[in-house]
Amino acid sequence: MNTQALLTPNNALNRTRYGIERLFETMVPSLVRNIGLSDSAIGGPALNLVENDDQLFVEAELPGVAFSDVEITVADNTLTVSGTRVLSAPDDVNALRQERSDFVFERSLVLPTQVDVDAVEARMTNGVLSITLPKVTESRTRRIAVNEA
Amino acid sequence: MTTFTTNEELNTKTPAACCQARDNQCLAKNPHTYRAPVDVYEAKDRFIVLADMPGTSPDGIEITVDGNMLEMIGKVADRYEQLGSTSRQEYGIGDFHRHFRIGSGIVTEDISATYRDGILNVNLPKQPVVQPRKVQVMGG
Repeated sequence: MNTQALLTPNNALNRTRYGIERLFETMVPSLVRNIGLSDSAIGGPALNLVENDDQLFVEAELPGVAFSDVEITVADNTLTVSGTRVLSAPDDVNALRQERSDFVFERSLVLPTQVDVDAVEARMTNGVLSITLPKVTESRTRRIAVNEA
Repeated sequence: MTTFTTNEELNTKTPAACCQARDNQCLAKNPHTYRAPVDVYEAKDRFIVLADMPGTSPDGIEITVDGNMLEMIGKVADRYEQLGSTSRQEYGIGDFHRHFRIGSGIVTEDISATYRDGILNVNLPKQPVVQPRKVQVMGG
């Protein structure tokens, strides 16, 4: 067997491997997108992080999740979002297609800056969880009065 | 009689591809279109479609029936632009889109929909003629 031939870029094996890699490159992000899971933490919702000078905004798409079923904690500069989705099917029906499902989720994210834990706010709007985390401003310069002895 | 065909004409999982395949004009208008996951149920008198479309609104939902094609679009505005800069993005923001072939047994003018908690609920009533009917047997 000529092993060198297998390593040349144009042989069928490499083309197949390339094809498979392309397939994964195409499918995985869209699969992640479509089932709402992060590729870095299967079991948790995908998160987006937006920031400006004063605040961080973390967002997750959680359609059908009751706000009361979501738990949010911030500790050691790490945000953790967890909860459950329980869907209810209509009564007296036959399911023809089911792409949606119940799920339990938990996701942690190390925040890029210190935040004011006491001022964190969260809300659920149209199935999107939005968490606002005010940044802790840099320690202000404080003038120390020096008294004469 | 089946009046709701769930095997979609375009069953792609690639963002924007369903839009692209259907109408290149559509892709040009919005490069980020995502496939909303759906459940389809059949009751005696209707079909029910439930679709996860987080981040849109009742005003952002467009449901159209063109011939035998039911199309559902959930428009999602870019809500990050005013907030600041995106430093981590694990999912894209864009419109949701799904379409199905439906048969002639649906009363298209009576299709109704609600949108709540990010879930679109579409009701498609069946024509009375395709609903199961119990025939009363009279004694002789």
